[in-house]
Amino acid sequence: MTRTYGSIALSSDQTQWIIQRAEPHVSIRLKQLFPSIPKAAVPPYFLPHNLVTDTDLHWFMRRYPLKISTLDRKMLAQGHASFLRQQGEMERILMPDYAPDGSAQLREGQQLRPYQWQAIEVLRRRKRLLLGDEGGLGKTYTAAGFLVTEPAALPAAVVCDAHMQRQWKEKIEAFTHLRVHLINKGRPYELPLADVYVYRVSQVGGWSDFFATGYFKSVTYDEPQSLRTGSATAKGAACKILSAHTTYHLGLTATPIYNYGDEMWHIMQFIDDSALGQWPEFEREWCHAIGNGKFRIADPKALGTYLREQYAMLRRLKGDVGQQLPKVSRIVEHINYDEKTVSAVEDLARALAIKATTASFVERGSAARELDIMMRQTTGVAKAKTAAAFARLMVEAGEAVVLWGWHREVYEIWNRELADLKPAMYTGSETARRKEAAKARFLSGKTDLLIMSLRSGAGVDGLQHRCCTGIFGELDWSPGIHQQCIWRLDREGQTSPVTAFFLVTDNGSDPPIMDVLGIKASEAQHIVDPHLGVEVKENDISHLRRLVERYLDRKTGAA
Amino acid sequence: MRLNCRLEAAVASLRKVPAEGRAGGERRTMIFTLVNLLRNAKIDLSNEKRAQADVEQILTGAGIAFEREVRLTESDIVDFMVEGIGIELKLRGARKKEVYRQLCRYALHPRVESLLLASNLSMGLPPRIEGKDAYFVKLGEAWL
Repeated sequence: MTRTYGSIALSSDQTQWIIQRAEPHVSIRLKQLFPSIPKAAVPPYFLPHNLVTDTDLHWFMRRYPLKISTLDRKMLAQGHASFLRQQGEMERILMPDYAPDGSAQLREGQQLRPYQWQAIEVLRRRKRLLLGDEGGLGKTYTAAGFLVTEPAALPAAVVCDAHMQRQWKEKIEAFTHLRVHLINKGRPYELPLADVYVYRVSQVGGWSDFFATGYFKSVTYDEPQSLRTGSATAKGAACKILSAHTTYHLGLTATPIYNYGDEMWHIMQFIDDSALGQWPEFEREWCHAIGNGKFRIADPKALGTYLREQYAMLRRLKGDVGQQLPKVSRIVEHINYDEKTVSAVEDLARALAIKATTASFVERGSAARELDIMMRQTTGVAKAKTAAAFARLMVEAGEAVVLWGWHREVYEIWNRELADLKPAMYTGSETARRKEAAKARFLSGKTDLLIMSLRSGAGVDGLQHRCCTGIFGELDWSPGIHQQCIWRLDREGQTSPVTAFFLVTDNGSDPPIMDVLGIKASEAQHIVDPHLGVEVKENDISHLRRLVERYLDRKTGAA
Repeated sequence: MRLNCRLEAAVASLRKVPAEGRAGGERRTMIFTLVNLLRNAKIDLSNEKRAQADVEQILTGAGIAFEREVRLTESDIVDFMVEGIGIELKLRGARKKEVYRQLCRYALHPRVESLLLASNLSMGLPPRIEGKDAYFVKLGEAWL
C-alpha cells in the first residue's frame, strides 16, 4: 500500500479542496507551493477547486500522496486533464491559421474578423481575459461578438467611462440584435428587459447589493485602468462584488498601465484575481518599492511574458493582424514660453519648495502636491500662447486639428487667442451631451479646431474620419493618456499619416515630467509588448513640411 | 521666437540646404549621427544594464564600430567608445554632481576627444568639459 502523508477531500458543495491532515514537513511544502495557505495556519487547509489548483495538487500528490476517496481522485484527475486540454486548445486557437468554427448572429452585412474570433473563443474557455489589442482593432465589437456567441453570458453588464456609454449602445445595436439599456441612476431601480446593461463607472458604487444577487452573468470592463486605485474605492468595491458574482470577466484596454507596472495587479483583481496571486506575494516577487507607496516592476518583460503564457492577457498589434494603417509621427517641438507668467509665480513656488523640503511630514506632502499642480498649470499657461499660434498655423494651412490640454486657465487663453476659429470644446467642464454636440460640430466641418481634455477622450470614435493632426499643448504624467489621445486619430478609417506634436518647454514642469514619462512608458511597454525589440522612432517631418508649404502659399496668395 | 526659428528651418530645408555639410569635421558628423540615433530610440529605462544592451543593439544595427566598457583609469570605465567619442549612460537615480565629476575625469583621458552623456536625468552640460566637447542626449523624449 502506498505510504500517505495526510488526507484530502472535496467540500460538500464541491467548490474547494479541504486538506484535513498533513504531516508537518508536508505542511511546510504545501505552504511553499500554495501561498494562499497562511504560514501560521494548521490543518484543515482550504484550496479552491479549479483547473490550475487541481493540476498543481495532482503534481504535488505524486511526490507526497494524500489519502483521497476514489470519487475525489477522479474529480482531481478530471480537473488536471481539462487543464491540459484547455492549454492545448488555447494554443490551437491562437495559431495564425486558426479557422473559427463558431457562428454569431450579427446584423446583416456585419462580420467578425478571425483575430476577434480568437479572443472570443479564448474568453469562452478561460472565462477571464484582459484583451489588450492595440487601439482601433475593434475591441468593442469583439465584446459584442462574444455576448452574441455565448448565451450563458447574458444578461451582461458593461462598465465604462461616462463619455463612452452612448457609444456602447450605438455600436452594439449597429452590430448585433442585442437589446441595450443605459443605466441612468446611481441607485438600483427596476430594470427594463434587455440583454446588455451599460453602467458608467461612476454609477456602480450604489449597485453593489444588486450585483450580489447574481443577476448578471458576465461583466465587461471597458478601460479598466480607471479601477487602478483598487478595491478601496467605492467603485472598486462594487466592481469586485460584480466580478465575484459573474461567470465571465472581460477587460478591454490597450493601455492597462497608466503609471507604474504594479497597476497591472490591481486591474487583474477585477478580471482574473488568481493570475497574479495575493498582493504581498506579488510585491515580493515582482516589484521593487520606489517610495511613497509606489512600486516598479523589477522585470517588466518577464511579467508581460507570464501574462501571455497564462492566456490571461491577449494583445495584438495592427501589424500582427495585417492592418496597414499609415504610420504615426510623434514630433517633439521645443517652444518658447512666456517668462512673465513664470516669474509671477516664482516667489510662491520658492516658498512652497522650501516648505516641501523642510516642513512637517503632512505639510511636506501637501506643499509638494500644491507645487506640482502649480508648476504644471504655470507651465501650461506659459506656453499657451505659443501653442495657440502653433494650432492656428495648422488650421490656417487647411488642416483640421485636435488640441489637447488640461487646465481651465489654459483653455481660456486658447479660446481667447483662437476665438475667430470658434473652437469646439470637449473637456471636463462640458456635460456628456455638450461634448457630443462639440464633437458633431467638429466632425461636420463647422470648425477646424477641437480643444480636448487629455483625460476625457479614451475610446472616442469618429475623429479619425475628420483629422490626422493632433497637438499636445500640455503634458500628462501618464504616457498611456498620450497614447489614448493619439489613438483617437490613429484608428481604423484613418486615411492619412497621423502627426502628433508635443509642444514642450525646457523650463517649468516639462523636463521632469518627460523624465518620468520615459520611465513609465518604458516599463509599461515591456509588460504589454515584451517581445518588441528596440524601436527607433520615425520622425517624419514631411507632413510638417507640406503644412508649412501650404501655409506659406496661402499667406503669399492673400498678400 | 523659437517657433519661428523652426518655421524658418523648415523653409530652409525646403530649399535643400544640406544639414550635414554645415557640421564640419568627421567627428562632429559622427556625434550628430549618435545624438540622432539615441534621441529617437526607445531605450529600456528600467535599469542601466538593459539600457546599455539596447544601445549596443542600436549601434550594431546602424553599423557603427564601438568598444564596450573601456577602462580609462583604475576606477573609471566608460560605457562605450566610438572613435574618440566617450558615451556614458546614466539613468534617473544617479546623482547629477557625481555624474558630472565622472565626466570630468573621463575628459582628462587622452583617448577621449569628446563626451556624450545619454540620460533621463533633467540636467544640462557645459559645452566643454576640461577642454573637450560635451554633448547631452535626453533619453525620455523618444518615449513621448
